[in-house]
Amino acid sequence: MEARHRTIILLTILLMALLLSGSYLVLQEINAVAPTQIPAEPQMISTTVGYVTMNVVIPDEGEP
Amino acid sequence: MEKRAALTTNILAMFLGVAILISIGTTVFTLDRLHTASLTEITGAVTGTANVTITNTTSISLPNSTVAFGDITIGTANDTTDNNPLPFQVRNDGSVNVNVTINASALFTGLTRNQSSYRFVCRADEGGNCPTGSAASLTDMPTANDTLLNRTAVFDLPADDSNDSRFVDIEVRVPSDEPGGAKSSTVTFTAAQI
Repeated sequence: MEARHRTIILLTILLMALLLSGSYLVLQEINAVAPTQIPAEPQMISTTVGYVTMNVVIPDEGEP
Repeated sequence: MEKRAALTTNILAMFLGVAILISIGTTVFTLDRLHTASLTEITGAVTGTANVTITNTTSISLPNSTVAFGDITIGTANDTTDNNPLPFQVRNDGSVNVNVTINASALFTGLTRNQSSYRFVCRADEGGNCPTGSAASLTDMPTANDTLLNRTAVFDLPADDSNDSRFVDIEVRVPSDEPGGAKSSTVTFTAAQI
């Protein structure tokens, strides 16, 4: 095989490698910018407080 | 020698053919993917996208937030079912139906107290009733101050303004050995979007 043929073959293989890697990189970039996910809406919580009050009365032992 | 040269040329042609096929295939594939994604960064074409998100709001309030029993003698009971004192009123101020759970801090310290000393129940206000799943009968108040122990007071409380409030009645039974004086319990109502 002549030297020029080997060079051409090597260049061709390099071309294929470049095409594959370039395509891969482009697709990665597209996937990075494409809106692919919608975040799930978190369950909403609301809290409020109230109060129960009283005055405990102990009856007088001397009362009838 | 000529045969060998022809073989080399064939190999070269095969490699080039594969390269062309890969080039065409990846180009078509890439263009196809770009067509479904965005072309703005490549073509300079300007497009705008307006995203509108309707956010649900979950909010409850207590138009009546204090149940004041006043003086109660030890060993006796009182409740709010007669509206004296007024019960809690829970209102859904949000835009979605909610489940309302309840928890409270301890009210009594007497040794003879038990869970039934402090109870709650759902009562209709706006709307016909308390939906199935609500506290339909007097239910022991969880007083461990642990939200994991919350109990449902009102199930599926609607957001519709004409039907968005329920009463939560409170019943207290003062233990016979309860020390006298002022008592207070903080009641926490938690609404979770359905």
